[in-house]
Amino acid sequence: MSQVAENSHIPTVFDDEHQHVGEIYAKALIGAAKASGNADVVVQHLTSIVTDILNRSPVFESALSSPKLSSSEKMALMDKVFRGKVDPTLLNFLKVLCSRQRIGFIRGIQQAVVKMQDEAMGRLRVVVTTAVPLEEKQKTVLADTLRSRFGKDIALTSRTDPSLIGGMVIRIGDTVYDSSIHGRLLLQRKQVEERAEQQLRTKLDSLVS
Amino acid sequence: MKFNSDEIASVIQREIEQFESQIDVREVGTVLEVGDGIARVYGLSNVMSGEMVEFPSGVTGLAFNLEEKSVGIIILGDYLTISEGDEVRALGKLLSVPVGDEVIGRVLDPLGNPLDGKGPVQAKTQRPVEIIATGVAERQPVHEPLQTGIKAIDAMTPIGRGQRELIIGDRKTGKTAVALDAIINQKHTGVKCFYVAVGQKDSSVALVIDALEKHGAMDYTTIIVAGASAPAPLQYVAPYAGTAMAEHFMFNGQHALIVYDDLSKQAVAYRQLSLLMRRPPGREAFPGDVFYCHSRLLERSAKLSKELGGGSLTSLPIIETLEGEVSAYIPTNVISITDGQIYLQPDLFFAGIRPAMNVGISVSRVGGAAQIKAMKKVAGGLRLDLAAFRELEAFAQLGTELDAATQSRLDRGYRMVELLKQAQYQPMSVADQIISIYAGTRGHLDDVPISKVRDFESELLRFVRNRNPDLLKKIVDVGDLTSEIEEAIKSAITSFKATFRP
Repeated sequence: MSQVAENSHIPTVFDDEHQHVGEIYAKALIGAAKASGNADVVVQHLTSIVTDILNRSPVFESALSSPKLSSSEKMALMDKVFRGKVDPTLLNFLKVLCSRQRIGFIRGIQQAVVKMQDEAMGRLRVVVTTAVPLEEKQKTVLADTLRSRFGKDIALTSRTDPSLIGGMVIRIGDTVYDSSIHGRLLLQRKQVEERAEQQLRTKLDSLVS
Repeated sequence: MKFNSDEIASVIQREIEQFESQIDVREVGTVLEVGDGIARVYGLSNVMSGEMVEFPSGVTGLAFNLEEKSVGIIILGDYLTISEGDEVRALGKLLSVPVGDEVIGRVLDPLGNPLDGKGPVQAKTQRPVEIIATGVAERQPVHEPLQTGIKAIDAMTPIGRGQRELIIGDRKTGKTAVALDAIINQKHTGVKCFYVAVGQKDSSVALVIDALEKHGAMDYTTIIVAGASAPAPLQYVAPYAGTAMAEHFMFNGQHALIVYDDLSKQAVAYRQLSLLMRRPPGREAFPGDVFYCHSRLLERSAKLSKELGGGSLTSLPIIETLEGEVSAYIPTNVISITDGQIYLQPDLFFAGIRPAMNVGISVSRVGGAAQIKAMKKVAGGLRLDLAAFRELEAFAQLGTELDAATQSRLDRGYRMVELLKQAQYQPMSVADQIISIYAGTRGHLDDVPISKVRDFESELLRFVRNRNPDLLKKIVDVGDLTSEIEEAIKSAITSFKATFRP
C-alpha cells in the first residue's frame, strides 16, 4: 500500500511489471471503448478516477485491492460509487480488474491508455513550465504555434515553477526547449567561464606584472 | 607575480557581452537509480550507444546499455554527487580526449584531466576515444625494429614498430620492468611513449613516474592513470583513451609505443560494469564481448602505409596470470590477439635470471622482419639452442654420465643464460647487444668461468667503446654482419681477452 502511494507521487519511478501489465490491459480497454465509440470519454474518466479519487483517498483503493472483501462486495461497492457517473465500458473494465486482483496496476494502465490514445489521435502531449501561471489566451497562442510547428494536435499541460524567473521551458517527450531565464543564466555562466578562462590563458603574460 | 585585476575583469565583461542567448534544446532523461559507477535512466529516447551524457553536477557518462524502457549509463567520475530524479542530458557527441605534443610529459586521467598539478592540458586538438581500427589497405607489414634495449627480447623475440607483443606472467615477475626498460630505451629515437596504468596501486604508479623521470624518459612519455581507487568505468576507458592519444602521433607519420599495465584489471573492471548492467555472464563471469573489448583495442596498433605517412603504434599489453595459468580466459584471449608474447616465470625470476623470460614459450610472430640483419645473423639459432639447452639441462640433472659434446653444449648454454641476464633500467644499444651475443654464440666465452661472464661482457663493451668506437658506429650504420665487421668484432674480442683476467 505504501509503495503504491509513493508511486503516485513520483511519476518517474520505473516499474517494468506495472508498465508491461498496464500496456496489455490498456490495449484491451481502448479496443472495448472504440467498439462502443467513446474512447476519449473513457480515457478522461479513467484519468480522473486515478487523480481525483484514488490519489486522494488511499483508503478506497486499499478497500478495492484488499483480499478481505469478496469480489461480489467489491462489485457492489463499485456500482454504488461509479454507476451513472462513469462510462459503462469503463465500469465493466474496473470490475474485471477487481475480480482479477489487478487494481494495483491501475496507474500503469492509465498511463498506457493516455499514451495509446494520444498516438491514435495524432496528439502531442506538451508540458509547459513558466515562472507565473499562463493566461488562457497565452495558452491558446502557444498551442497554435506548436500545432503549426509540429503539424499535430497539442495537449497542453502547464505548470509553474517560480525558480525559472522568467521565460518558459517546453517539454515534448524527452526533448526540452529551454528559454527560461534560469536556464540561460546557467548556460551563460558556463560559456563565460570557459571562454574567459581561455582568453585569460592566452593573455596570461599581459595580465601578470 | 601580481595579477592585473582590471584587465581580467574586462576580459570577463567582454565575454558576457558577447554571449548570445538562444533557446537551449536538449534531450533529457531522469535518473532512476545510481550506484557502483552506473546509473539507470528513464527517458533519453533518442540517445545512441556510446553517446556522452551529462549529469547536473557536471559529471559525464556514456550510454552503455540501450534497453526497451531505460538506458544504462556508465559514469565517468564521481557518482556520489548524483541522486535519483536528477535530469540527465544527452550531449550528442562522443567521448574525446586532448591529443598532441601538449600531452607529452604529463600525468593524466582517462578524460585528459591533469593529475600532476601542472595545470590543464592546453591541447588544440581532440580525438574520439573509440574509433574503428585502420583497415587492411591502410597498413603495411611490420618491418622496422623497435629496440627494447633488453638483450633477451631484441635477440630472440624481436618487436617491430606496429606490433602487439604481450608481456605475460605471474605477479612480481618483472612485467612492468620490461615495459619500462623499453620506454627508457626510446630516448633519442623519436618514439613517443604512453604508459596506461589500469587498476594499479597509486604507489606503484608513483614509482613508475619516478623511475621514468630519473632516466629522463618523461620528456617523451605520457602516463594515463586510472588507479585502483578509480571507478570501474574510468578503468575500462583508460586504455582506449591512451590509445587515442598515441594514435594522434601514428596518423601524423610519427612512431608511438603504448604500454597497457594491465589488461587483466581492465577486463575485471569491464566485467563489473557488465554484471551491474545485467549483461549475461559467460566463462569466469566475463561478458560475452570481453574478447571484442581487447581485440578492438589492440587492433588499433598498426604500421600505416607509406601513403598515410608510415607512422606506427606499437603496443605492449601486460597480462597478469594466476599461478602460471595461461589457459585462463583472458590470457588465452589476449595471446590469440597479439603478435607474440614474452612469458615471464617466477621460478626463473627467483633463480636470478632477470628478465625472467621463458625462452621456450615466448615468441614473436613478426620475427626476423623486426631485426636488423646483423642481429638476425648473430642471434639466429639462439632461441632454439636455448630451448634445447633447457631440455638437456633437465636431463643432465638425472646425474647420468655425459659425453664431451653434450657437456660442451651444456657449458655453452650456462654461459648464454648468464649473458642474457640484464639489470633493470640499463637498456643496451643494438650494437652493444650484437657484440656481446656474438661473443656468446661464437664460443668466445667458453673458457670464461660462468660467474665471470657478466664482468667479461661489461668490460668487453667498455673496451670496445674506448678503443674502437668506430666499430659500434659501423655496426649501426651498415646494419649487417659483413665479413669485414665480423672480423673487426672477432679481433676486438681476441685482443680484449688477452687483457682480461678472470
